[in-house]
Amino acid sequence: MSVERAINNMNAADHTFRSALRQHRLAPPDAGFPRRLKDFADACESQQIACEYAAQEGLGWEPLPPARRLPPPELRPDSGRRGPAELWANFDPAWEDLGKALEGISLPAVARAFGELATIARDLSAAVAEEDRQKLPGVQHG
Amino acid sequence: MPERTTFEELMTVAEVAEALRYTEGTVRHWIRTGKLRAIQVTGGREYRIRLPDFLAFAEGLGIPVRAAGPGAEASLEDEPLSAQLRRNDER
Repeated sequence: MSVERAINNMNAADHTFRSALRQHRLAPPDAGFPRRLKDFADACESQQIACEYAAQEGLGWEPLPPARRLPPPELRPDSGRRGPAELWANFDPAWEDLGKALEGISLPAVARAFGELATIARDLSAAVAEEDRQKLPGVQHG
Repeated sequence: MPERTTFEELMTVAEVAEALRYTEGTVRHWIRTGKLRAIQVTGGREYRIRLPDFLAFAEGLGIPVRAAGPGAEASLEDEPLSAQLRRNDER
């Protein structure tokens, strides 16, 4: 059954997404930050794909109750997060947009919001990894 | 003096019924039998339920209900999104 498959996909994507959020909860400011960002990007992309598939199968979205949904601590503006400020300036509204979409009734809008967040998180992961690489001894600057 | 409340904290019988997925008749029965505390309004013809009374009652029923609203905080870690999927013919 395609609808069952859509629900199973969503369950799996949900599990991955929540695991990725947990990774960012109490993480130290270590070299694993780019990997956690990449895991988060992958999880958002999985959610996007699962939502798109569910929408194609005719499923709808029941809004989450309105609430203030902050990102996990490591991804908040006051966390001293590493990476280009301009990318983080895109991340924060994208996170807010996801919250708004989750409180709405459009499953395609939820998919789009996850997709946007995935793109930004992937760019951030690459940028932070590059910053880390530049800091390694022996790497030529300029 | 009766406990003061605010407009935002009050729920109608219909809202309680919708939130708990029971009929309004059942909710009125709970109120009349004293199981659910309520305030009588419009000369006693209607009821309003304070949010803390509703939350306590829902918890007593074994239905996990979290206060929500623009000021409430929630974490996506605790909210299984797959539960929000619905078939379009469910509404």
